[in-house]
Amino acid sequence: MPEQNTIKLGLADSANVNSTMLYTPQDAFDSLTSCVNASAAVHSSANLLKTFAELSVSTGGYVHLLPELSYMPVLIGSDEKPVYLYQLVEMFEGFLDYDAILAEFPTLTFSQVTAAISFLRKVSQINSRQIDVDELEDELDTGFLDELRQAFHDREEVARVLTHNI
Amino acid sequence: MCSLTISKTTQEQLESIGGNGANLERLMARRAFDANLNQPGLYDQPNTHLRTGFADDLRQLGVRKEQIMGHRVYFVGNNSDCNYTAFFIKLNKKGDDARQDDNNADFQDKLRRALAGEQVRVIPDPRQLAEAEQDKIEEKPAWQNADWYKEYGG
Repeated sequence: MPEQNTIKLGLADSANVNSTMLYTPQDAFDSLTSCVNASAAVHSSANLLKTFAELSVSTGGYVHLLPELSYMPVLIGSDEKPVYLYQLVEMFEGFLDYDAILAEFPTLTFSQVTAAISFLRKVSQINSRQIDVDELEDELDTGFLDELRQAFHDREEVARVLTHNI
Repeated sequence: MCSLTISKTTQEQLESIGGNGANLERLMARRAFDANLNQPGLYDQPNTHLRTGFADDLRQLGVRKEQIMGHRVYFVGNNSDCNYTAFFIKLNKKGDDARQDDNNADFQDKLRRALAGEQVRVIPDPRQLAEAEQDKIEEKPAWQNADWYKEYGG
């Protein structure tokens, strides 16, 4: 059985709370309110990740929550490298038999099933640093923007139009 | 049911990823088919809007993005047109060839470092860089703002 993970949250995350000089009672009140809110957010995040840890243990401990990866759920490959759970969910999206699913749940639509997969993908991206993986990708990967702009200008060059009848 | 137009560029990109291309195209098309004139679909949801600061010129032209199978599909159009045009895909994986299939290793490395709390280098939009350079050129040296220069130099 894979090694069990532990969750250590609190102090490191609390350190992110802003400490500002207090000038007026209103400033003090606002600052304290902000601290309480931040503390509540940390507490809520810690609770969620604790639930993740419990789920990991109850499913055999294969899903790891590592402090060095801000507890974002991963599997560890045979090369000891992490494979993020959200990448796996992305793969599921491509291989699902949507018609079979819709036959099983005839009251649902394709959009609902797809949105459910997107929801699971987002859940599997939760981490203690509250890093938005998709936003990070946009920030880091801008090398293709000129290509994107060119493609936008060339969009009138149509290859095909797909309609439901095809 | 709305339709999906595939641009020539998109078609070439779909072909470049082999078998996964057919899967991706199927999912792109079904998103369009699930919308109609009266019913917005997944392509019309707010989460498809480009973030402020990311290719602002294209954002203002109505370009949006949908994440499908880890790829980023850029498109225009909405359900009131009953047609969407996919014009570019930022592919996450290069294709069926395992040697090429690095699963975006560079991004994975940056993600790992970001999660570990390390500083990551953000590559700015080349256009913004060019604008910043232009601003620098247009900025007067401090001495040109001095009173003596204004009186005698200019």
